[in-house]
Amino acid sequence: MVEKTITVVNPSGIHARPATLVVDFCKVYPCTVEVVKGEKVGNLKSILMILSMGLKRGTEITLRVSGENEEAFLDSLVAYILNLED
Amino acid sequence: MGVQIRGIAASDGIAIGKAKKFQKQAGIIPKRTLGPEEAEGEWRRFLDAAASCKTQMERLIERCGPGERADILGAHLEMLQDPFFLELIENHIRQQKNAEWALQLATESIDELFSQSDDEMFRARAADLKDVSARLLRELQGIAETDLSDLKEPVIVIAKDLMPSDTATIDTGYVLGFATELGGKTSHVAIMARGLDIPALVGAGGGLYDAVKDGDQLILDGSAGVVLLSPSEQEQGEYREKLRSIERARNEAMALKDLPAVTLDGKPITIAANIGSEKEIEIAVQNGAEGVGLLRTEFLYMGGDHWPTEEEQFTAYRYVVRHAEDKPVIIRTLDIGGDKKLPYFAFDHEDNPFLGQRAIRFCLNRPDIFKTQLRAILRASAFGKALIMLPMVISPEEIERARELIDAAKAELEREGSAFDREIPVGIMIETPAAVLIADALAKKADFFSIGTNDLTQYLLAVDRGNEKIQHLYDPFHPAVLRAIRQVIEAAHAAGIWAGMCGEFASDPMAARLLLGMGLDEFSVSPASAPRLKKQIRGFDQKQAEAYANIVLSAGSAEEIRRRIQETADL
Repeated sequence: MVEKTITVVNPSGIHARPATLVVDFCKVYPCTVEVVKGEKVGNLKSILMILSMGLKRGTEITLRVSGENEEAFLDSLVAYILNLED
Repeated sequence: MGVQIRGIAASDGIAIGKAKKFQKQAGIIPKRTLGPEEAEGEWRRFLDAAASCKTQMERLIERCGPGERADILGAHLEMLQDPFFLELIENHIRQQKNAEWALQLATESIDELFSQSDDEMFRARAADLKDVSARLLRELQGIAETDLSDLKEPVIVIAKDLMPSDTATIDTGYVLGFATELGGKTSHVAIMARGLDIPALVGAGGGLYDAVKDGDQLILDGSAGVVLLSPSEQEQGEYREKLRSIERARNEAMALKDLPAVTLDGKPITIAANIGSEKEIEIAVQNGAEGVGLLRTEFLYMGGDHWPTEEEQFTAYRYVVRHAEDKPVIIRTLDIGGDKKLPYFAFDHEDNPFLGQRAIRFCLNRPDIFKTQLRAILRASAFGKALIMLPMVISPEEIERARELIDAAKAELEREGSAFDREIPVGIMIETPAAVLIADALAKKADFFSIGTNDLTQYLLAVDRGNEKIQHLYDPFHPAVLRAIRQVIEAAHAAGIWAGMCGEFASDPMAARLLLGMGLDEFSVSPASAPRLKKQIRGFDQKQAEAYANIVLSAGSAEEIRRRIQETADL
């Protein structure tokens, strides 16, 4: 299992369209992908979960990946989230 | 002779065919505590149900091709496979609850999380989830999916009641007619059937649904408001003959549908369509309508369980505007209140809702809701020709206040860089006696008038058209109504704007020549009436019609007016 803590920087947060993009990004990888915000842990492949966590701009989140090629996937996921445009 | 069941004639025409009973199952949820060894099997039972829902939905998506319906179903499909949702259900089952119960608990807890939210996207997802959950429940309980989009042969749909959500996915290619136990002439199914030109009967009362079996041969006479159960050979023959003659008249009119609606002496008239859902635009175009004279937007509000979002509205308006092929589409802003209520909003009690806070009054009191709609209309105006129409206006100030909100919405869109039509016309419906009397003042503030004869007749004559005891008094041929119409048209022309009519009176074959003679510029009618009206207009002479209108209008009673119209029918 690998993890990394980042801050959400895109204007609308991981919400609406960006949330859909992130889920789509994660869905196709065989890894388990989780997001941690404070006490809450959520499955990053679940749009329902992500939406309910309220990951607004400025929120600090920890991304947790375990499975095949976990490090490479974590890096690309971090880059993907930090580069969200909406 | 077959058994007859009478109801309210809701949409003209005759249908002969097999019955298809439709009922959304409420799905009573059985609750059971499982034995410790049962949980695994129960979870597998749930997964099987989910898998077969998935197959059904994929097939549906494939069949309806790319488009909005496929997108909605795609979102539902995603929900069905959502890991969080599935995890909640699995946990409940592992805690020895049966699958139906577990499903209900999971749906409730997610719904609680979402539906309280102010966020549009959350609420939309909550609604999707409920839909998916209902589908899963039906699958678990082995209740066949009675989705009207999956018909395999032409049928007459028999139901206790039909909701917008039932008819939204209907495969109209296979529906010959509708008959329902509940509903009135202005119920959702009645309006939709008229828009789609499908015969319908509503309000047949209890017993209809149980009297019919799936596959029974039926005759539905939507014009007379009758269903014949097990009709005799002779009755079937008679009705087939009637059906043929209706089709003949219709084909004759359809042959002219693409010709312009011009009088013999060369006055062009606009014949537009009244529609009540985005899909009806296609039927309007097929019938040769030159645009939409009234897009009732209530379908967006009444069908769902939340205020429609800007995106939902924008998508629907854009669909209509695009399909209208650059012809004008008049979008009437929300006309809610009165008899039209919403499932998700508690209106304050009013002793007299028809004289209460409805239509423009409601919208001006709720600028948040109104502006969402105005923004959606403005954004759609970038894709064709859209016009805004305000209902129930009684004063110039109301138009001014609405225009202020429109300007504010424009300024917002401008800042956001969204495209819209800067010159979008803003017109009003004339449907109150006050608007008739000050039509000259209103004409200075409005870009066009459209006369709503249904409410205008009701308000002018002080006759509640829903009250059976006084229904004979509800008569748009009353001279008070006709004189009001003439006054409105004259006021519009004096101010250099056009006047149309979108009430049912515009579709009345007996009124066409009279309205033409009074100078009406635009008739907005049900799509099915458009070809017939066009044929009528092409046979009239404008100058003669004016003289004819003067003769008819000098009469002092509705009875006298009807007599004069009938006597001069052949002139």
